[in-house]
Amino acid sequence: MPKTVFDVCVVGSGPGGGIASYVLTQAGLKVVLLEAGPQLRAGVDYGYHRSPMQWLQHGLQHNQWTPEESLFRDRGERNHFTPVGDRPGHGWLKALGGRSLCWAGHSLRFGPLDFRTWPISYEEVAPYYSKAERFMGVYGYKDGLTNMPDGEFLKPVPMRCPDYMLKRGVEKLKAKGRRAEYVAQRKAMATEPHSSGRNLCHYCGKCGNCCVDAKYTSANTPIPRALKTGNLTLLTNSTMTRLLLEPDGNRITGVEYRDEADRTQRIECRALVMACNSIETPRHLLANTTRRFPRGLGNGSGQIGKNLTSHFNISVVGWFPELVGRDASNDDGTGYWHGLLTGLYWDEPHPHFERTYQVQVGSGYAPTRLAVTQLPGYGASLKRQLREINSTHALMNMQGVTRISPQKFVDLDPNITDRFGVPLSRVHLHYEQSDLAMAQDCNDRCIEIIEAAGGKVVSAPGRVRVEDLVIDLNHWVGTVRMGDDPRTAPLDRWGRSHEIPNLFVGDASVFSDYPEKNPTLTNITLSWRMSEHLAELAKRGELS
Amino acid sequence: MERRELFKILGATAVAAELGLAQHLHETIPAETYTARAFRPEQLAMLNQLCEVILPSDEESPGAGRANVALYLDMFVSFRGREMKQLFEEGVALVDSRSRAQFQKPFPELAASEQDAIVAQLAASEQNRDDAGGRFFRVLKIQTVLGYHYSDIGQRQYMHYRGNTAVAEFPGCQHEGHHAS
Ligand SMILES: Cc1cc2nc3c(=O)[nH]c(=O)nc-3n(C[C@H](O)[C@H](O)[C@H](O)COP(=O)(O)OP(=O)(O)OC[C@H]3O[C@@H](n4cnc5c(N)ncnc54)[C@H](O)[C@@H]3O)c2cc1C
Ligand code: SF4
Repeated sequence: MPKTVFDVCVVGSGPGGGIASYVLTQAGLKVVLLEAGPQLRAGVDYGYHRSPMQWLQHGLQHNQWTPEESLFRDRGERNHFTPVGDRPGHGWLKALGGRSLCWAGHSLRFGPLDFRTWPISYEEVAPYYSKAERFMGVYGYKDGLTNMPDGEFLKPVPMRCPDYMLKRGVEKLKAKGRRAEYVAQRKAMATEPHSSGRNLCHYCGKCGNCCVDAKYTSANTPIPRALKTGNLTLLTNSTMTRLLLEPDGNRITGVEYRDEADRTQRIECRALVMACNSIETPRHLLANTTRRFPRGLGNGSGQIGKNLTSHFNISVVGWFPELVGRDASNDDGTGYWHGLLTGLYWDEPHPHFERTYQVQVGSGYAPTRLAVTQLPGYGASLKRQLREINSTHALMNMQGVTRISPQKFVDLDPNITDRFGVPLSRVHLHYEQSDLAMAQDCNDRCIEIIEAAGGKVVSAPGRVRVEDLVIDLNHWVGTVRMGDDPRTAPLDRWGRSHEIPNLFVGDASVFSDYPEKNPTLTNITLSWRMSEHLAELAKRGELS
Repeated sequence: MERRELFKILGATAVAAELGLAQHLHETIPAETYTARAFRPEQLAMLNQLCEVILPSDEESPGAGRANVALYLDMFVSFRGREMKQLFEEGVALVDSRSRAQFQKPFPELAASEQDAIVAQLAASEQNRDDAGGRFFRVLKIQTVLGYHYSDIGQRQYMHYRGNTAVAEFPGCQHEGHHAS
């Protein structure tokens, strides 16, 4: 039997790898997609509606204080990396679709100002944002903001009463010259019939585990459509363990992987797309060395694993006496987060920190997700206060960008390997003064807004300490960045290695810089753009 | 309902919403069918009385004792294991001994004001980790709050919650007064 040589091997089926498989197979290329985890079925393997009492039982069984089901918490990988410093995490859901199965769907375009430090401009990326949004199905209002451009939106989902209170607070402060905007969230959920044929959203608020596939995932939209072309070979439960190169070390020839039956197998391909996520992709590039690339494949710049950044959080909770008595009968919506405070320090940087933050706002009452459980006292007053606060509260969660610096990076653990013999990644995180300054500013601004809105603060860090900062373990980016200069960036402006012409990266490792906005829409958009470029090169025979 | 069956129904969202898909949220632990695993009947009775003092009945909704939150506590403690069981057993014993020492009666037989006096003593040391009564009360209080919100009474009569279901639209805030800036 003649050996199959695939046009492209894509490793990892998360948002980045899923869209690459779709775009490449549509272009007529023969693609093999390797995914370490199994295929899970929405509503069958995860995401059931149960009564709060059943959830509770589930939570108690799993020793969880928050009993709500969480695909990510229940099935996420454990002990798969080494944390160094200020409590870094590394999120990995090993399944077809990766973390798109459990993501919250928040989809915000990066703006023109955000791309100032990139090799590509917003104008170059905008058409791909439009393609991605139309393909995914993203709902939202047209807000007309300068640096969070409107997209191709499905029917929006409105905000709850506490959001409007905060919006009022923001408007009052704007009248005094402050800069900020309060808008509704934009999410990748089918609120009206959509080309993907996904079910309509039924506003049950269990979006981390959507049971009917109304939320976009890699597993429910791009991968089924890629399979339909007949050009995709899908290998689940198959872990890529080694990258194979020509003897001279100039081109990738394929990968080695461990199959479902734990046998070592090889795949040959003309091009490789790495989309294992922003920690795993640099890990594999660093772990594979040759005489030409002693510091890792395509790492002549020495930048692979560097420039690591993520979002980090603090939370401020407030409530609104004016809303006492409001109807909490069905607050579920598309989950907790319906509001967004943004537009902070877009064009006027803060003197004490670089970049900026946004604040995601959660509100509404749900019996399995009681926001405030600890109040002083007992008896009639406790009972009254619990209802007043929980039905009118708003939880303001900062999403700030950690400073990009030598204090934050990924390298290989010299002592620990996974069961395939590949060294584990080490994630280094050390907060700096500027990170603390950002969180402090957020604390102060949130309190100011709650009070301007006529609300009261229930809890806030006050004077922020490093112990209060919580890293977003799912938002890492920047570890294999794009740049025009091969001396300072491993990838070119398309996401192709400067040094290995048939090596491409399709996940958020490629980000040249990071704004306060959530990464995944941009990850999908850039992977789409990279894949079209790859297909074009293949057509012209320019892959080597 | 079978998961698959539910999936089918929820898959056809519009239809489900039109039919007014039955809400699947009701539930308190059914006293008739639940067999207590952690506590004896007299301990459960005392826990329910403590729950009732923490979140009492009023004209709008029955309190946590009447919502039978003690059964939730039983479930909680039996899942959490030995240390948690010990904390509760010692807490219940402490309440009992204080009731007998101060009012010469077991806790369930005390007058409302006397029960309140006992709970007030526990609550006063809520923040004191060196005090056995305070440590017990802290956990008891949080778990009473959670258990009450899981109960049918807590969700429906107290919070008026009707969610966890399929609806065709999410109306959001409809109060014009809230929209004005
Ligand atoms: C609870 C939660 C909520 C989130 N909410 C949002 C949100 O609202 N908005 C937003 O923008 N982002 C959100 N995110 C983040 C988002 O999910 C991630 O940024 C995104 O999934 C990253 O995509 P990826 O393709 O790089 O990696 P992943 O989604 O991690 O996918 C990588 C895939 O590659 C596979 N893989 C890894 N190594 C190998 C190997 N060696 N061989 C074979 N396969 C391999 C993995 O098993 C996995 O399936 C959220 C994440 C979580 C967990
Ligand atoms: S609210 Fe919509 S997207 Fe979220 S879980 Fe329910 S059906 Fe899915």
